[in-house]
Amino acid sequence: MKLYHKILFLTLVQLGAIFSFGIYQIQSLYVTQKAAFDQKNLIQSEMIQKRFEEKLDQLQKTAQILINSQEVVTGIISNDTDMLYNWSKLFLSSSAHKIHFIDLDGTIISRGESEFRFGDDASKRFYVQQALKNDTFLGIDTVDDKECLIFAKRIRQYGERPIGLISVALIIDDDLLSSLVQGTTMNIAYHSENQTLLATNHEALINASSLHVMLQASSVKEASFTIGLASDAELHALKEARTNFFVSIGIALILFVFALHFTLLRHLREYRSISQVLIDFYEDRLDIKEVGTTIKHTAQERSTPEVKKIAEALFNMSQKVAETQDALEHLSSIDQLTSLWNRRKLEEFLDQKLKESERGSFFSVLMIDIDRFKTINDTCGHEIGDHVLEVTAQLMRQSVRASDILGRWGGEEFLLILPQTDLAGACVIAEQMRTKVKHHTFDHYANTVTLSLGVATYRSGDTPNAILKRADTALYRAKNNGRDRVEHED
Amino acid sequence: MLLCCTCLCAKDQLILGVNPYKTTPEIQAIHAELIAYLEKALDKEIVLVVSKDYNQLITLIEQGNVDIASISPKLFAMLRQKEIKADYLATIQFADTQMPKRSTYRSLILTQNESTIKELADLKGKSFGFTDIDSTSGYLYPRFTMRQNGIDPSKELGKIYMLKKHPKIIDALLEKSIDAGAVYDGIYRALPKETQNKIRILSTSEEIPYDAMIASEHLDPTLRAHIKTLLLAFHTSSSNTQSGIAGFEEKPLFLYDRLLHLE
Repeated sequence: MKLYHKILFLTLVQLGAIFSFGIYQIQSLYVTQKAAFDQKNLIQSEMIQKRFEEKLDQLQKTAQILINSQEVVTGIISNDTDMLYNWSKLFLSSSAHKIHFIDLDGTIISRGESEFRFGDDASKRFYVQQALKNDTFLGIDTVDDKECLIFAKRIRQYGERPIGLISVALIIDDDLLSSLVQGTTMNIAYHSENQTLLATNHEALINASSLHVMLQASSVKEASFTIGLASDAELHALKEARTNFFVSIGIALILFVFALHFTLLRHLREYRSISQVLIDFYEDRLDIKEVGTTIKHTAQERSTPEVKKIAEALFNMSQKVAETQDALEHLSSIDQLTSLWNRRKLEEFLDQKLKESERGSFFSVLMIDIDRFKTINDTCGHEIGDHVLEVTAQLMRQSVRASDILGRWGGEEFLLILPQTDLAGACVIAEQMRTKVKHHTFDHYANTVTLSLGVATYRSGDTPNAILKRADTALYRAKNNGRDRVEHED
Repeated sequence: MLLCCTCLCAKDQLILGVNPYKTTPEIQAIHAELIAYLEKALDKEIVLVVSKDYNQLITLIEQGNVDIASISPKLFAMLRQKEIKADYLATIQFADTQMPKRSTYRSLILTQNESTIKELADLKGKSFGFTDIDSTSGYLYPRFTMRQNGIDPSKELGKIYMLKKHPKIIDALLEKSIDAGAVYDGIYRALPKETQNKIRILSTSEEIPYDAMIASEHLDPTLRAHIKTLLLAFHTSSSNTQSGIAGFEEKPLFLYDRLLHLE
């Protein structure tokens, strides 16, 4: 697996774990809040239920108090409208809007809420029929064209002889519904075939459920009370908060992945760039100096500090390696005694000059040998021999141009490559060199040192061996012709 | 408490008992000028007591808990029949915009002008509103009149309602809660003309004396005579005679006694 994928995978795993925990926490908080919200609504629903039951209780209590009054009983027996009115008006309240006394024929004797309205027939009313039949009625019915919660009860004289009815009614209107939900966040609706009422001006109930009321069947069809939330703003806010958090987490996660992706790409591209330089170096597409140059270029680009430091370190390292390589290269190309190029290096130079000559250049070579050097070594010792070699090399170096290449070919033999020099020019230089050495006085060697020199110049199609062979032949001839002389190829 | 007041303040106060024929504030207004007049003339405080119902006033008189009383004609007749010791002082005079002050009135049987009831005989099966069972004009005379016209009010009427107060008969009629009802003529005459036009009088009774002012025999005879003189000398100074007692007049007592034979 690539580093990119590893980092991305591990980071995503950690992020996923963190975000999952966050989501779990938020969901837990939401569930807790939702439970509290539901609990509050349940309590409010129960409170409304209780209030409703209290309204029904109040109707029944009012009726019972009036029934227990002997004057009321007397008033019903004697159709004493005035007395019944006076009694009933005392009990009119927000819990009892209408109090009617009705005789056994179903004729209303008295209305507490309307002093002069009585004598009308209510015998066809469902609640009157039910109360006359079953002794009591508790339910919804129409009273004076108003749908009401109504409790009706048969009145008995001495608890035995039925003498009439009492009905205590509460008008189902906006005020009643409002009083039921007052101080709560709930709404209540009353629906019947004739009307639909709502406690507050919201169009619909949220999470509506029926009010559990123990009411008898009534003549008003489809009459029911429904309670629900007046507004779902609170729940909506809770859900919105949760959704917002989830969306935020999602967006944050996506953004983080993108940011991570691009950051990784950027950093890894820098690392890859550096590593590619090293790979190129390893696979010989770059030498150490090019490595240094490329890395220096990388370090100067807008890299991150870490990459820049690595690039700088690699650059410094490549510099040191290049210097070391140069030093080693130098050591491997120089003859330690004479400080001239060694034979390996001379062969490289010769190859190079031959290649250059193929493109129109030319050169000449001198094969130089110190005369009777073995005798010097044998008679004066190797130290003197080395001295002679060392000084002779210095003298020869002083005799050549900067562009000329002088090296020790082996033992007491030297090779001089003369770029852009023809045979004649090479002979001149050879003669000057021979003369200079011959007339030099050595510090530790008393005798004269002479040189034999063979000169050859480049010929088309030459190989290293060919040109060296001709120079060596000329040298041999110089040796054979008495030494201390310059001979050139034919 | 009433007894305590009576005993403790016997020398400085006189208790005036009144039937609850109207609301207490209305009764207080009706008697206000008379009370002020008597208080000034007698140098005594007059305490007005409105009885809970007609019968309670009889009890108060019997027990001597009131000194003087304005009592309904029927109750006065009953007192006389029971020989309860009480002195007749005078009969109250009232006045209204239609008639000068008078000490007698009449009972009216009324129906709505648009009603199908054209005569008393049409009352059969119809709902009827009486005031109080002890009311002369609101119960006794109309029943007497019905019987005289061949209707048994106990059996042949429709629903019967007891409305206690005379004005309520008018209101109930206008509301069409009752088909017909009985009131004393003063209530009818006090109505605005347009309201009167909505009502038709089916019958008018013979003269009925107004409430009698009586005095308890517990009172000093000299004081009783003095009060009688003062009552007969009383003339309201108010221009609005409708609001109170206009004066007093002595009437023959047979006018009261014949009320006992209305049943």
